[in-house]
Amino acid sequence: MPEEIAYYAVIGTGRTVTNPSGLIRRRYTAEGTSDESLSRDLSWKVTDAIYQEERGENFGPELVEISAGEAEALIERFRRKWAE
Amino acid sequence: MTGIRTCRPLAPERSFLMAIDRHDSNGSAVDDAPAAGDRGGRQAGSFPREMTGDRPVPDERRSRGDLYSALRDTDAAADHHPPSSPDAPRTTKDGGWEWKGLRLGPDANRVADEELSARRTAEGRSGDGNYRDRGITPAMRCIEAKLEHGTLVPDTEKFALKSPDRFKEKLAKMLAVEPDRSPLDLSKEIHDGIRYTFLIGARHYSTGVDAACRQLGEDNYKLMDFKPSWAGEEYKGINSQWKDPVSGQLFEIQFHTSDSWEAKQKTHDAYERIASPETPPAERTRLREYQRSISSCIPVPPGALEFSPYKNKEG
Repeated sequence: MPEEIAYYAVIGTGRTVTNPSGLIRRRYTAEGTSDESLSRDLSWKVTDAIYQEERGENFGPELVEISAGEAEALIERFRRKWAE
Repeated sequence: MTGIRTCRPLAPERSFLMAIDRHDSNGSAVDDAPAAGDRGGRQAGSFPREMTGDRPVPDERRSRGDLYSALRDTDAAADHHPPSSPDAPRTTKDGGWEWKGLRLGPDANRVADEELSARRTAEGRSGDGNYRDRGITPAMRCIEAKLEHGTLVPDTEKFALKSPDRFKEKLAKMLAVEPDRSPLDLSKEIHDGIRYTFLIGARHYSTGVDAACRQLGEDNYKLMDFKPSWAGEEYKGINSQWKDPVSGQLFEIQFHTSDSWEAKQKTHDAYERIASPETPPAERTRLREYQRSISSCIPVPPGALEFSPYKNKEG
């Protein structure tokens, strides 16, 4: 069974869903969920950002779910921007 | 598209200002466990025995004061590691900072140090460690003195400032989540570099929160964010962000009952392990279930579910 992945655009202060400040993905595995954020080197690193939002204690940026296609386009945009 | 914020339960729609303005209409059939600050309260140990991940959690037999100290010790643990320990935070040769797989580059580390310095100044402690009449902490003590119900938690002065390594850990995590923003912008958003907690007895909790917020407003502190979590499954309480009119610094105030504060302390180790990138998903799932079981035992004070979230979008 293919692994299910949900993507979330990170909407920091002054940003919008069309100009987010980061990208997070949640992978649903047999062992549970695993959350990762996209780094400037375009690698994925473990993050607790979604957990913090679900827990409700902390004040983090808004997370908005986007499609896999939108996530792919966002990664490409970050790749070009961060290479400058 | 669906924002993840829609997944969590929210309090019924109700303006925060309404909450501020309302009078005490709470019912009387309430077990009012007084907050520690009300010079009373139950001893810790009322929560069920549970398993957290692979480690059993023994029945809690520590007093609330001991629990409180343990929580704060954990919070400050970064400062207690021997410098030679491989687990200790460290400054790298290039002037950066590293801890637990997180890293700040030299520029970000310098920004963090500058922001820490600004928070130390705003908090009000002088170089000799004593307070004078300026600063946010002395002001919070004045506000506390004006309140009919509720007190600041013990050792407030000792822990009002987030430790430097915890501050840098937070900045490193924020940069990892929002790599398209600058360290300076993000560090200015760290709202709990200065933080306070009011404990309010359950019977007077809602009116106590209203009164504290009203007093803060009268003293020209600007409410930036107000996040009630009494309907939450894993955490109960109210967290709020305020802006100091003198320094412009953000700071945090939490409002708890003795039960919600006790639960927060009891689950702090689980919280740390859930947040750790080294914790396997299956253990994280078990730990979150443990947090839910603890949280479900916290009595919700009358009126607490009527508070609504508020966010000041003007900055």
